[in-house]
Amino acid sequence: MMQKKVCLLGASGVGKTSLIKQYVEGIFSEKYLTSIGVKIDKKQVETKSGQVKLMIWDIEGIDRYCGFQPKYLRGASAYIIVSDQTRSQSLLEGVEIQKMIKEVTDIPGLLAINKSDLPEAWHWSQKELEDIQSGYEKTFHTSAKTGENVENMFTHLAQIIAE
Amino acid sequence: MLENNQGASKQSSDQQMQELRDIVLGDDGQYVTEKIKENARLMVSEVLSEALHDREKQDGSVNTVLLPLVEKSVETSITNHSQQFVGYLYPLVGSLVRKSVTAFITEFLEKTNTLLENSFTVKGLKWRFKAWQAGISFSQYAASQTFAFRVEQVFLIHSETGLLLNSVSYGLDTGTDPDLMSSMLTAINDFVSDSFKPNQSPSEQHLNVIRTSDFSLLIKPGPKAVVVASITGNMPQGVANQLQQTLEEIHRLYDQELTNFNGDTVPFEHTQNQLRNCLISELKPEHQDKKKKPWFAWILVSMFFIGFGYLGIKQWQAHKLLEKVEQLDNEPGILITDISTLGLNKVQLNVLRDPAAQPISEWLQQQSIEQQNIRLKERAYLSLEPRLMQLKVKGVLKQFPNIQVDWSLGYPQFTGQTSISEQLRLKAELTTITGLNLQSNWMNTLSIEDSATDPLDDPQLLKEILDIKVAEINRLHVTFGNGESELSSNAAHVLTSVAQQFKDLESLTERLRLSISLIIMGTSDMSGDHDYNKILSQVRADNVKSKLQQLGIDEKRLNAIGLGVIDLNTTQKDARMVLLNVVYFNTAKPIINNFE
Repeated sequence: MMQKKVCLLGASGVGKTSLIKQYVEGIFSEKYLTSIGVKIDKKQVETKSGQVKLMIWDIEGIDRYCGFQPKYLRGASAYIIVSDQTRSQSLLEGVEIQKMIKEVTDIPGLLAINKSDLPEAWHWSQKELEDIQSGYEKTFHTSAKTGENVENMFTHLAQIIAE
Repeated sequence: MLENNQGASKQSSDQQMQELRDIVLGDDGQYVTEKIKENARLMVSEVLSEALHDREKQDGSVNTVLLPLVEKSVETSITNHSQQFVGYLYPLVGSLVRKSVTAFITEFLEKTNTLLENSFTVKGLKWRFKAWQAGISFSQYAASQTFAFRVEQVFLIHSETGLLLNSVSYGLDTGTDPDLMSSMLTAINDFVSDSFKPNQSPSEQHLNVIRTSDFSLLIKPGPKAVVVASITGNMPQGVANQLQQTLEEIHRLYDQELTNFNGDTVPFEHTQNQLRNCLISELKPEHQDKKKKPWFAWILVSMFFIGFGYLGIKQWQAHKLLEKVEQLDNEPGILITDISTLGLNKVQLNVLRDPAAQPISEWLQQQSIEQQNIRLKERAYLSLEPRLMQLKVKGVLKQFPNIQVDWSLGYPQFTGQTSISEQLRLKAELTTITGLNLQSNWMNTLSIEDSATDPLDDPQLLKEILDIKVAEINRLHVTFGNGESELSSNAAHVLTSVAQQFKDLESLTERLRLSISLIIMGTSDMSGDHDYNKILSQVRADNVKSKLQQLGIDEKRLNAIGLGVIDLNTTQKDARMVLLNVVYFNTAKPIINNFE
């Protein structure tokens, strides 16, 4: 069976871990995330090209003061950057993270604008948002709470990397 | 002109080049070819295995090419040296068969023994308890107690992605997901190598061993893949060496596949063979030294065979007993209705027995059969078997020591000397034997002693004669067809005999000063209307009465009664009849002979 490594990145508190929890039943406890900065889950997805086993690396929240371990991206087939639509800063940090990713690899990425169940509380203009989104394969408005678009996003990701 | 010059100069430079080539390389590259040929053996041997593997993987052609060659050479060998081959194989075949049978039995015994030992011995129970306490499976705990060390699982991990390429294990469920384990190990290695990099060292750091109180993870990193072994117990250096060798071999054989890995693990399925070489273990000295006999299994197997043999013998004995008891059916007056084995050594016997026949217990005793082994259910019946008749007659003759019987003509012929009164008594006794149908000519061969007194003067004797004659008439009856009341010719014949005998009785009763009459009782079966049947039975009795009148019996002595339906299941078939009963009177009080 085809196996693929994908990474989830984003600023602290945007809900990366919750998104994965919504998607898969977490097997490793979260203590890994706090101690070594990564938590790994797996999920099997059916795509047009057959079954794909996704190894999802949930990389610890990153802020402007500390970078992330670029080695965790090694061998990844795709990444998702998660931002929080109730915090403008999170999207900005997402942009920074994507810059760092682009320095080490050229793999496709998705943008998840999370917490879509809460009212939008950022002040990005449509133009600014479109500019940022153009750097990604696709943008998904997700909610880890209601599960909105979570399955769709991972299925789309699997589809991209299986092709 | 210029063109010509240019052409000439090009031609000459080509020629020079060719000459130079010939000088350096020799004619047709002769020097190079020779040089290569010199080292050909070394060069080919260095890459032979890898090249064969690559080509086989690429298009499977190596196998296609080698197969006919190998087949051909084996065929040639066998054709030319068949005797030698037979010689080679002969000792092998026998020992192969023996070995496989022995291996099967040994494995069976050992498995059974292990199962029993682990289930019923104190040690087994203790281990189970400890495994439960430690929260691990019994097999895991048993392995930890039995082995000095054991490689439980081996993982082959792609270095760059941390994805699992293949894994092998001893078959124990360790509860770890190999996929997640591979990825986590890669992440931990990345974390460690980055966090503890000493002084900007250019070389990448790698984890080599992770040790906990229960197990060790031995990690052998390679440029493209990592081999990881999960080991319980004290790991010796040999394991690390084996892992290193395996890693190198995999890199050598799967170099291309590792470089081009895109997430598809199918090409690595065959690494199983290499990884299995790393599943090494060593027993603890106490388990190593003693070559245990599988006592538990032997005891169990012996018990099984003894039990099986015991049951077999019991079954055989019961069968023999059954065969012996079945002979009872040949005895006169005894009929076996059902016979079967009961439990291990008993026989259930259901029989019908004529009271005159030999008692069953007596027969069993004669055959030396223990009665406690027979569960007997006996019911009485009347047998008409000729052999039983002989027995019954013999029984009667015990009272008449002077009389013998001869059955050679198929019926009894009585011989010997006797008196008239004895002859009459004998006759009376024989009349009581059901089914004998006594004929008067059977006694013609008896010689009667002369008696001084006329026997007919003896009232006692007369009374006995009277009883016999009454019994003879009472035995007779007339039957009718369904719904019929007319007398058949057979009935007329019976009634003629009845009339004659009754007349004899009349003269006899006169001498005894008795009065005699005949009760004629008509009956009917259950078919048809009840009232009609009642009338029908009366008409039948009346017809018999008028016939007897015609035959000369005084009407006063005849009394016809219609009994109607005889409602008995057993008499259903023969219920259409007229029964006769002689009644004689002594004084005012009548003496009635009950009919049978």
